[in-house]
This record gives sequence, structure tokens and C-alpha cells, in this order.
Amino acid sequence: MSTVADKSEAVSASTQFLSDIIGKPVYVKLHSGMLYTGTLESIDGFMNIALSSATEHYENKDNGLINTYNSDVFLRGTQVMYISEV
Amino acid sequence: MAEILPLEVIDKTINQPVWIILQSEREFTGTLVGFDDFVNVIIQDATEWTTSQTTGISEKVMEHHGRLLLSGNNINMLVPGGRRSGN
Repeated sequence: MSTVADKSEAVSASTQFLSDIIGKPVYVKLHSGMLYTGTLESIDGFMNIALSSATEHYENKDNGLINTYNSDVFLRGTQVMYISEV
Repeated sequence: MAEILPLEVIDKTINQPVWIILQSEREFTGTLVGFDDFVNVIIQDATEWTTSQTTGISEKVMEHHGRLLLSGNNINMLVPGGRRSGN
């Protein structure tokens, strides 16, 4: 019984995190090592992500700017390694 | 003697240091703040490392401030207590 309660609490921890960070600046890294910084427009249960004002770097921001995107960009959930608060 | 379920190991690590090793040559350390049934994990103030599998030497990639949601898809191992000293 307690494990069920623990689980549902844990699930809300990750969904809580996702709802907390909507509209905030985030880092998203893909398995390729590409790092995207931008404003989180939305995210779904597959970790598909929409970013606005995205910039693209390799591995970290100390490595040179590769691209900036003026339109919203979509990042494929299967390729997302992590999403992090800036 | 009560049996310890696999996910209980993770649950007991909440609010404690954790060391997470991915399938690739990449590791994360920080404080575990939560996880879900897919073993997606949330880490507070994570440090991201790449580790050479031939030399075992770790290099810091970046430090994250705040929370980080790490996809459970490519997690190989989760070690309660954080990175082993000597690594």
C-alpha cells in the first residue's frame, strides 16, 4: 500500500517538474551531444519538446554557438537525454 | 527479513547524493529529488561528466544549477551515495 502511495507521489514529482518549468529558460541535451537553450513552450509525455528562441551548442555553452533559431523548434522525445533548469 | 524491491533502492536515495551512469560514456552526480515508473530521474544541482571507458578518466562537461530531468531511457546504473571516491 505504501509503495503505491510512494509511486504516485514520485510520478507527481516529475509531472510537477514539467509543469513548473513551462515558459522558463531551459537546457535540453540530445543523445548526439547537441545542447539547446531556449524558452520551454511545451513538453509531452514522450519528452517531445517545443522551444522558442533556441540556440545550439555542442556539449556546453563554452563551445561556440552553432546556430540560433528564430522560429519555434521541435525536439524529438526519443533523442532527448535531459532537460534542465537554466 | 523483508525483501528490497529494485525501485525501493531508488526511493531510499531521494534527497541524498546519487551517481547515475548511462549506456554511453556519460555520468551524472547530484542530489536525487524524484523519479517515476520509467526511472526518469530528477537531480538537483547535477554535475555532468564524460568518462573514457578505456582510461576511466572523467571530465566535467557542465554544472547544472536547479533541477534536471534525466530520461530513464539510457540509464544503466544508479548508485546511492554519489560518486565513489578515487574516481
